[in-house]
Amino acid sequence: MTVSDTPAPQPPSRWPHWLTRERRRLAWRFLLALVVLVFFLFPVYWLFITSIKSAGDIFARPPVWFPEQPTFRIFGVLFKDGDVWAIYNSLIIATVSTVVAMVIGTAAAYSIARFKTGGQNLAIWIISQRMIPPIVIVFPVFLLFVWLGWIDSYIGLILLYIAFNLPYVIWMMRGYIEDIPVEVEESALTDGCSRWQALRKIVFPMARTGIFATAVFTFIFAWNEFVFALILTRTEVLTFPVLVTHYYGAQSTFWTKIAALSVLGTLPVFFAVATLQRFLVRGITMGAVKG
Amino acid sequence: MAGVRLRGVHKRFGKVHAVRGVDIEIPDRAFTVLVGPSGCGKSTLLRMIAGLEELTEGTVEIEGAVVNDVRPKDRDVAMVFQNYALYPHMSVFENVAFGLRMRNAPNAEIRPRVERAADMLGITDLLERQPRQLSGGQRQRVAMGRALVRDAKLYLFDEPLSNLDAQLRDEMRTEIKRLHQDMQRTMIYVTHDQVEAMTLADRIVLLRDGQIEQEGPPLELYERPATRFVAGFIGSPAMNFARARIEAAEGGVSVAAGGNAFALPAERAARYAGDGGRDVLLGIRPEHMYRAEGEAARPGCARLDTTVEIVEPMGANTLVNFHLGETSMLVRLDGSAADQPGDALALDVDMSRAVLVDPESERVI
Repeated sequence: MTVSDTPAPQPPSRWPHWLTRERRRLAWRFLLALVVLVFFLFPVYWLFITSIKSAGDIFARPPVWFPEQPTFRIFGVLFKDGDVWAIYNSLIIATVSTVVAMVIGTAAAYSIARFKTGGQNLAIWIISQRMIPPIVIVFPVFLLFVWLGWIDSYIGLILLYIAFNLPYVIWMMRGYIEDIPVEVEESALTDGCSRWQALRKIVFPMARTGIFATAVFTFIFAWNEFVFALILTRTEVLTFPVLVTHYYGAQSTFWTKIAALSVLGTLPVFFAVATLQRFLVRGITMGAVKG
Repeated sequence: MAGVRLRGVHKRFGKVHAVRGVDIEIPDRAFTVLVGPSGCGKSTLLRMIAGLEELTEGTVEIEGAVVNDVRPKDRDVAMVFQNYALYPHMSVFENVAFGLRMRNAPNAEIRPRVERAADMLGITDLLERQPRQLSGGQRQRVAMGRALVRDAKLYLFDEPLSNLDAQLRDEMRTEIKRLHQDMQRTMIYVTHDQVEAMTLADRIVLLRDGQIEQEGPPLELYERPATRFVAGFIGSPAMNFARARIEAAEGGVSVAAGGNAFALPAERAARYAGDGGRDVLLGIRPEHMYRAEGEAARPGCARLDTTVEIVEPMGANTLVNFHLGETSMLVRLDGSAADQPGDALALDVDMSRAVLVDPESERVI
């Protein structure tokens, strides 16, 4: 049998020769990704673009896709009037409540995971607290806060958010800690660690993925929380979601203000997730290997 | 002197009584193997020695001092775990160095010691890698290195080879034995594998249901098992057991099983002279039956004529299955055996090494 040097004749293709099958497939994928991206990002784009439109452009028909004279005037107004204070309030409340909930929750989760504290049912009981609709308990809490003088205070919202986030933190961290083989910790103990050193040097680094992921979600919950903040604040510690609603009026609605404050309110969460994403991804690949 | 002594040790996990009154004395520098089927309490014992498990009752002494309330970090023991338990977020070097760092060894000392341990275990090339980049065998070596780098009083091994494939297991077994010979330290090793126990141990403690079944040097357990359980557990392939009856006549004592009478050699016969008519289990190891040669049986042996049923060639030797009465038996013949199923087979059964077991108490009589 001989092997022919000349390749078998190809049927003429309807595509140019450089557009190989591989590249065509890739192009379709990009196209699909683009459609999905536009679908999800359009509201964000519209929010931003509304914040820099003049009032007349907002309801213009046909819609103004990009204003001819973009203006950041309204952002200036928010700063001048002190409305951005709401963002600051939200930052304080969300950050403090997240940190405290993570510390207490992780300690509790460790205890439940390793020492079976509370037996079989404690963890379920704890997570069941989270299933209560906030609106159901907001009025008793309101009365309690009136009595304590905590209405419109940092301490009130912070404690409430800690209480509301703890079940979630405990539940999530329990799972992450249980995933760490107990032998690794015991190995550290025989290697000369105290229990606390084993936690700090072995357990926490190994649970880092879970700690960051849980913290991000806890923060986002506190950041977005609306019902408690609406009812338990007045004027001093308004959070950002509550302030946004103040711009809706029976007579007029300040659409550009709503848009501008929403843009400002999105930024901290965006940066928090974008920064931690690096750790999250690294954590995920680290945990991907079964040890 | 890093001897270990357990006295009256009990462990209960809720309703489960895992360890029921164990007394063991482990001499300094000895290689002691705790062996037994899963759930016999051997790992629990080891963990109690390490301080990872509290005692329900009893005391643990290391170097003559009771350590019940001493934390693991202060017991100065090094331990190798079954699933390696490497720290996934540290390099191999840091894994091995961790125990030294935790004990505040000077930095100048750490590197040479880690390198020496790595060299002993052949993992020098792996020191900069992460645990996830290692194979199972390499991880096991790192886990060993982590223990060996320490200058500990006591080295504990909790089934360290059970996750490895057969060939690696054999290699590592030899390595562990060599390390013990070189280091001359007290080592306690837990396994369910009787081959590991036999090959490694200076002394075996065989556990069953949380109690010591028998302890002693490996060959003593092999040659003079105290119970049916020990006789069956130690040795591979396992000892054959057949229902039998002691028959004492004027000419001597024999054991009747499956329609055959196996005469006991004179030096053993005297012990059983008064047991005529007693039902027993006759235990014979596969390697204690030999292919018959000549007319008369070898000294101390009894002749058995049987039929080959299944032949399993193993290379160095051949395992042949046959029936003694209703009991399926196994005999180990040399590798060149050309027996075929259905062939007649004449064996010399070594009655000087056979054991007789009381079927009620399961103790060797």
